[in-house]
Amino acid sequence: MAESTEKNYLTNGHTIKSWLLTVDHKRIALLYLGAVTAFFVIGGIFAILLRLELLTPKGDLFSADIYNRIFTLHGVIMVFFFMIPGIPAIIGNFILPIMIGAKDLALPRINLLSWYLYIIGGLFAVACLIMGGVDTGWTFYTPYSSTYSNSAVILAAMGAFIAGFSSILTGLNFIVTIHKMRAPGMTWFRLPLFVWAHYATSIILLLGTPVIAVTLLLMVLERAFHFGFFDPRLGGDPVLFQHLFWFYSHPAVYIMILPSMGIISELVAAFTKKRPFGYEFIAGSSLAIALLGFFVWGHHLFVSSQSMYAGIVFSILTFLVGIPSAVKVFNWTATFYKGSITFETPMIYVLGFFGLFMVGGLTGLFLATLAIDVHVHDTYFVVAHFHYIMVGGTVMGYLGGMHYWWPKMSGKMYNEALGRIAAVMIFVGFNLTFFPQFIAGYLGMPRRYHSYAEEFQIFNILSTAGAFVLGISFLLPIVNMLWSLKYGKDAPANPWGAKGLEWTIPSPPPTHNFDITPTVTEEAYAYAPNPSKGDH
Amino acid sequence: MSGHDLKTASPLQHHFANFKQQYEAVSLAMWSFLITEILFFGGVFLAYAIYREMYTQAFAAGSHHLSIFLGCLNTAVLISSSFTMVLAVHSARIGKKNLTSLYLFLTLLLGCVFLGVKAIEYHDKFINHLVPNDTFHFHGFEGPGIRIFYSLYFTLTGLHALHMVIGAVILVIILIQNMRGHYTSEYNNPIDMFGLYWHFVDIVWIFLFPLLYLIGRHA
Amino acid sequence: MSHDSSAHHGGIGIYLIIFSALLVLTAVTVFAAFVDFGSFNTVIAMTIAIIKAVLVMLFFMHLKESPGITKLFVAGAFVCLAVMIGMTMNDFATRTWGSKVEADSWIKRTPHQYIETTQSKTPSQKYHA
Repeated sequence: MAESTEKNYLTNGHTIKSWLLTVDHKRIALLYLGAVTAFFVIGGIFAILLRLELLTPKGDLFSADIYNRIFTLHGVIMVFFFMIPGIPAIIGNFILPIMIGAKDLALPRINLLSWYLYIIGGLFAVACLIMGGVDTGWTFYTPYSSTYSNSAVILAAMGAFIAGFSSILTGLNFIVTIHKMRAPGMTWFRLPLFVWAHYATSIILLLGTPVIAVTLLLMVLERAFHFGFFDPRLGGDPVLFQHLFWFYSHPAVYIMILPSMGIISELVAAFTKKRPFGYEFIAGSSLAIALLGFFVWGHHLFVSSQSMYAGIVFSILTFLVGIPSAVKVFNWTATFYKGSITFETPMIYVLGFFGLFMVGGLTGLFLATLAIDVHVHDTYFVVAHFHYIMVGGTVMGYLGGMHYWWPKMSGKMYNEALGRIAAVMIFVGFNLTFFPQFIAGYLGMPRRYHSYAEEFQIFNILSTAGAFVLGISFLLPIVNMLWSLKYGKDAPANPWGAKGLEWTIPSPPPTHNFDITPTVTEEAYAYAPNPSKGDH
Repeated sequence: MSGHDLKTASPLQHHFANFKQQYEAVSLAMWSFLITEILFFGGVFLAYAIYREMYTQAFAAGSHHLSIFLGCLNTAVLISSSFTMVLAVHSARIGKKNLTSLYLFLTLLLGCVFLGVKAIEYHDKFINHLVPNDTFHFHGFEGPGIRIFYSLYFTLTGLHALHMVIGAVILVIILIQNMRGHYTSEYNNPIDMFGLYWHFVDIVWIFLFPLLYLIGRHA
Repeated sequence: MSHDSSAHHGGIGIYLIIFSALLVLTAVTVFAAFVDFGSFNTVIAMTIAIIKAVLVMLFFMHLKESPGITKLFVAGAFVCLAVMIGMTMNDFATRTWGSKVEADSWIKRTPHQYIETTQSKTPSQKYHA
């Protein structure tokens, strides 16, 4: 469809006020895109700094104290300001209402509020940075955080607290929207799997985030006023903090991965031109992950003096929570069979996701095993495990989704060659960075140390080299998107020939999305059967 | 297309098809928010549960120092304010504007009584060195548990009081809006949804009262 | 009335009944606190509190007339809370099972006391189960 002279959501108002006071979910998504990308870059800079330190076994670049602040800020910024909001606030905000045939989210003003809360939380994080940062680790373990640390703990905790409320409002908005704003005919089992994934994510956002909010509050009360909660000198128990902290922070990792899995489902369907195999099971597995994810937090406390018996229970449940993820991987793989597979940039990210997420997920089973965890807890094995899932899983899905929906969001096509090159470079750079860390960790290199034994140096050199490749590669999609705005071809309504309501409206969409609310009559992913592949 | 900016405050928001959809959506939204509040307070209740088992004697000693009379009075006041609140919602639904204003005002009044009593209790704690900071000193029981008890007491009642203060402020706004005739029997969502919030705050106190004031009273 | 066109908001009688019940239950819980039921005192107090909360939710908050999904959400929140409290207490309660340190089934030693006792031990004494 040719570029029309009618207004779209981008051209509907040019003032700063029309952006900063917008209630249009699409504009809010772009506001988030800008802010989240900025924090991703800051968090990435901290990663480069710490990888530079780790080139040599001695702690020669930074003192231990400064190094502690660097890895803490990397964690705090990446977790609270990139991973948690990332996909839901950007792609979820933009695409979810359109996918269900709605004109906007259920609560547009709450949506804008959530962005402002994100910004305010971010300002607290920046203030923390300016005041010298925080050195407790992103996990804020007590009593170091509540009593002994000399860093800007309260500022960091407040930043995370406020950003947490931002994410709660996003989740709340999604749940209400999915329940109440679906177009006629859009039954639950006609919903795109992206929507199911965000529904499950929103459940976790709603139930889990308040717990870390109050936990950080208690820690701050102890630090500021010396209330007794977690410091043994005041009668408190540090392990109680860990229980409270991880009760949220474990489900939080499912907040980070589920939206990405939702994207993968969409990309698999679009680039095999097939309805995902076992649609109901993929949908159900999202809910299962959200549910089971609340029962396993104790696996972070295996060596924290948690009772062995509680440890056994948590270990068994942690094995169980891997099953729904496996269900998804099997179903996606089965979708490829007899599909019309094409290898545009989003599909490259999908393939990268499969390999990396599987390694990350399987190494999680190692960590779930009590005896092995005693050996590898707090080593680089753990660091590698969660980066395989968070970067190899979430970021690959995020980038795949950004490329997939970019034509819809911007009305421009990005450069396909650069897109594919970047995807491959990210895959290579990522593996070079993090695979050596599995080995170093298994051989005993501890995490969060600025110096290490000589025998680990080769792994660290490889890892740092990989980090530079990865860092440069991450810039490429940003360059590509910016390039497309000036030089990209105009995007049609449906550049991929994909199924889904978002592809029935113009690129970029008008502010109100749909001129007439659509009535849904076909199943999700109603691709025509492919006779040449034996379908009928 | 109206309703695309913050200023539009028409009763029916532009993205909803009808009042029914709007009501159901904001109702689910408010309940979802209250669910987050359940988990928010829940974290402190977990700490309470663990420490009460760990420091049973200390908790009993701390609880004895609280005034059952004031706690009971506040419980009755808050339950009454819930009663007036539900009557306010009822009156709004049948379009009785002045009756609604009266019940909203009574709710506000009772809420302020609650906060006043709380202020008296807090004052007593301040002058008796029972605030669990570095000035803390409890006569009659040794051990770390007593400071933990008061840390939990202040956190729980403090968070609760904060929610009441926020509620009171919103209640003032809603009362004024009602007196100005912004609500009808067809559209009174703010009163309805605020009522849910107010009742929730009442429920938190329903649990706080026995957990803080009534420990080991039979000894 | 946007959510309900038929006027089933009959009278305020039900609210009066529930209000009275709540006040009565408050009195009951106070009186029960002064009677020695042993460890049951807590159970009684919590049961009464739960009944009061349920009455407020069902009738004052109109949960009874609300859609099933709302009821499911509320129930789910309490289940989540129960999991959090239950599984954490499971850890604390089973800490000393099978331990050679003398202790009862519930942790009797406070963290405060652990600091004192472990400081006087040699490393091998400290880490021996």
